[in-house]
Amino acid sequence: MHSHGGNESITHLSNDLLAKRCAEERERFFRRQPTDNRFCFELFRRAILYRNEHAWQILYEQYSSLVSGWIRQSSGFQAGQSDLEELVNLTFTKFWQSVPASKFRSFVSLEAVLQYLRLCAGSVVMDMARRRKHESRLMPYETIMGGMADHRNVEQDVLDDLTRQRFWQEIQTLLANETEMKVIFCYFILGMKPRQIQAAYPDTFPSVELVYQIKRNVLNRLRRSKSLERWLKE
Amino acid sequence: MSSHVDERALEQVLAGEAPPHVEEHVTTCALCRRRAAELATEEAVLIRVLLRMCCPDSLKLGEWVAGLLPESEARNVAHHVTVCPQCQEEAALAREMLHLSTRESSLTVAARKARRLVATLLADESPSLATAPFALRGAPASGRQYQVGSLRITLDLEREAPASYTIFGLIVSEAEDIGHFEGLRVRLEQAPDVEVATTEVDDLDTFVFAHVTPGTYMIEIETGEGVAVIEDLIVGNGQH
Repeated sequence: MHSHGGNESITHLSNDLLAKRCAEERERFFRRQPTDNRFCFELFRRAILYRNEHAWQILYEQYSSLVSGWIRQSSGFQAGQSDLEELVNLTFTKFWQSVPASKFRSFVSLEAVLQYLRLCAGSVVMDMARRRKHESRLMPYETIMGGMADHRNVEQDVLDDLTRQRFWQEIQTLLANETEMKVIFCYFILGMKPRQIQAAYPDTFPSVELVYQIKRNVLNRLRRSKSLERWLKE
Repeated sequence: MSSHVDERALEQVLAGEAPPHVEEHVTTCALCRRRAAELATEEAVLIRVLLRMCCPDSLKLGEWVAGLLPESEARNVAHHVTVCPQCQEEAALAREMLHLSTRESSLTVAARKARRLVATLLADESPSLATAPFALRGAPASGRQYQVGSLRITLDLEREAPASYTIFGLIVSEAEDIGHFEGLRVRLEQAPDVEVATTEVDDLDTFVFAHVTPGTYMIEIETGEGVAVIEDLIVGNGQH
């Protein structure tokens, strides 16, 4: 592959001409022939450094099927659960939002740019998996509550980080010791089940019953707390 | 009913760790269900607010896996990942996503390239379907047959949706019985070493790739004696 040296002539090419050369080079890559990546890289440079919408649109057309392949290839992707095209869009959006000019200048080659694009695709798949797990963690609660209690979905409960931190600090003031902290942290923040907590810390918790007991004691205490009562009502 | 379950059992139900008979009781007993719902309401609020509040966002986790974070930040993420099973799973996912091609190139690509057997299109035997969206560069037909050594590979295409297709493949050899090729690995690639999907040949010597979007692809079949390669498959109009 060629280096990015001698870019002076490239920078004067129109977006359309770059698009044509980029597509040709991709074809050559596909045919296992030597390629010149400067044209595709220049399109990325224009899209990121100059926020050139046309260059961005060309890149989307040139690379969306590649991104789509990465996503489908990931074991975290479950076909049918989410629209593939939407995930591809989210990948490009994430790339756009998370690569400011300063970060782009650290990319020394097209391969580095594409590797970061791939990382963004992985992140989008991960976000989807997180939502799935979040829903699954709340499923027993939702099932039990049915229509008789609070039945909001996860998205409606998005709180900003600061509010969550304040809530957690409030809870911490009501915990008696490190052991209680460990149970509450593992159960509510890390999303571990009591058996997993016991298995992870067998020295602290010789039995799973102890985990349940500590959790119950803490919840009873939290229930009596006036300040938390306000939170829970909200 | 005389045997209502205690609070511990209700907590087990909420944690998803209750024995089936307890779950069944709570489902059918109005009193226990109400008590469980009271507990659930409180715990659900805590879960909604606290769950994964300390986890790095997915992009940061990916950057950590890729070694792109500054040292102090990387140390914090590394410390978190050691205690968080969910982030451990996701880090593995990110590694898979980022290093798949690297792993491929280091372990298998050299060997594969060394024994590539490019399939020859049997042009005169391929049915002509002028409107079919499956074409070989330079030829407008579909339902194609290829020859690689003693193997004959037939490919066909079915449209699932306006921009989604299924590729069907069949491997035949006059010297072998049906089922001989079962288990062979077949890869659909978008460019050299850019794998889109992998599958295995089934007991009828066929293979399938579903949900294929328009574009140009190649198919590689590991035959044991080398890799049979079908190049320049254009699905749809070839435009992404």
